[in-house]
Amino acid sequence: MTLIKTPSDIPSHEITPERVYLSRRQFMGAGVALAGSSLVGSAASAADFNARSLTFQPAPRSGNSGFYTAEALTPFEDAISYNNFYEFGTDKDDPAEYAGALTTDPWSIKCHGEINNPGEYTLEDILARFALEERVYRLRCVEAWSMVVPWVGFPLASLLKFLDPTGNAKYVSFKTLARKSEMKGVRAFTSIIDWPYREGLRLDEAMHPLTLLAVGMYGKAIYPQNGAPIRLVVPWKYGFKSIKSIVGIKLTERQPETSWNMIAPREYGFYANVNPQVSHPRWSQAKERRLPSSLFSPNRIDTQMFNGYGEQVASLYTGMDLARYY
Amino acid sequence: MTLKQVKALAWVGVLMPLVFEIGAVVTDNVGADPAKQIVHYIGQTSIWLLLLALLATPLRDFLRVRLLLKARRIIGVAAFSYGLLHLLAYSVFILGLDWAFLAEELSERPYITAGMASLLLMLPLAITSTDGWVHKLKQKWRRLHRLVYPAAAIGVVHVWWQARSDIGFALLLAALLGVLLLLRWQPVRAWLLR
Repeated sequence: MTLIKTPSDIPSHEITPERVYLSRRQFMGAGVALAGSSLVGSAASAADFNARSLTFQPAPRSGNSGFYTAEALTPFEDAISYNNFYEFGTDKDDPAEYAGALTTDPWSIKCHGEINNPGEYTLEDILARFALEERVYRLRCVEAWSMVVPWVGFPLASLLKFLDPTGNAKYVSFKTLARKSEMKGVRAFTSIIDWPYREGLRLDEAMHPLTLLAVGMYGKAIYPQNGAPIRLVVPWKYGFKSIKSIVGIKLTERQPETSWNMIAPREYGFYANVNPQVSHPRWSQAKERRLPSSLFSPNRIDTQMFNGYGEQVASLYTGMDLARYY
Repeated sequence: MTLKQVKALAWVGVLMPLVFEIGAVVTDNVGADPAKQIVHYIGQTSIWLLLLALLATPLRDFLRVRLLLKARRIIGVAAFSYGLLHLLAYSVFILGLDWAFLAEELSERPYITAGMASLLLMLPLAITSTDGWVHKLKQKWRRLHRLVYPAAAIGVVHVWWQARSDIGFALLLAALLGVLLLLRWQPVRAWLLR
């Protein structure tokens, strides 16, 4: 855990003053801009929403932390227009079209379960406690496409340490907002997801330095379609583990229920580690298409074990049969 | 409208989706994952056309509109052609012409096997869609072309098996096919025409 910088080892000039980052006033300003521009169209409102830049410590370019990759970044435009966020519809362009309706201020996360500091924490309160860092991660979707995204956030471990898990805590479960009035996917009667969307990690996975709570990407506040205002990023697992727009964090003794596992347990396991050797029953996981892929060079590359983060995370699964615990 | 005009109109109609899609590709309006967009769009065009072809008979029976019936073979051939294009686009844009991978996908992914089965069932129908074959096969032609029912059903299964959490689109196709088949069932037909 020494890789994690606690606020005391970060020079004060590198810490983002909380008023620079999402102050309530700015958030409300963004909300007004969103409301005002809804007549103009979603592209304009998204631009207003993301006018704010973030201050953060850049990802270290050397070392074996896994915090940085030199691979070409997925263009920003693609990262905000090709999304899976089923609360806003199941088509890839649905989130970009409909997530503008999401109210992200006020926002709070209910933290409860096996912790000594439970409470309903506002986003401002959480952000005031942790310095922001950049992480450039590969993102591998279970649908066999991938991107490279520069995230801005703080380690989940920092928040968990603050929440102070009890001796009984073995898992962390997460919940996404499920607000019918703003989410057409949650309203859809043909959806077979039991909302809210839920995800979970084993405590040691959650405490791993690679596991990030992201509030920004490409140096700016995160877009609604990417999981505003705060989302999880677990780079060695399939994308669906990286739950978006988090409103609940609960530490539990038992393995929590997770949405995709509830829908199709044969297809989506609790662990969902990226693994080219274990096929999804309906498609192969051996390769992936790195987006954007152009037509005549599909940009198909080999998928790496643990999405290339084996050096950092393989030890978490020593002795486990990964074909069984997929 | 003369038969010639109807047929000309049908050809223009069935070519429209292709023109639109080429336009989208040329103007770079196919998103970050153009391969998937193209493959899905062409595949969906194919199944919609198949359902449209199946609408021709009920339209004549119940509304006495013969327009679709006159263009039915064109619509059917187009459905098959889009199906073939769909397979081609999948092979080129998604598999990058990796034939070993295609073989693996065909044998191990039930939804792909189903898609291929549906396309193969349509192949003899497309071949025998000319006037010459209609005359040559006579009564057998009608019997042969009943293969369109399993082809459409398996096509819907191909879509259904890809649904991950929202079965809306698959359900819509299944419901429409169900209605189209029900309207051909003698008791239902007789009751509606009484």
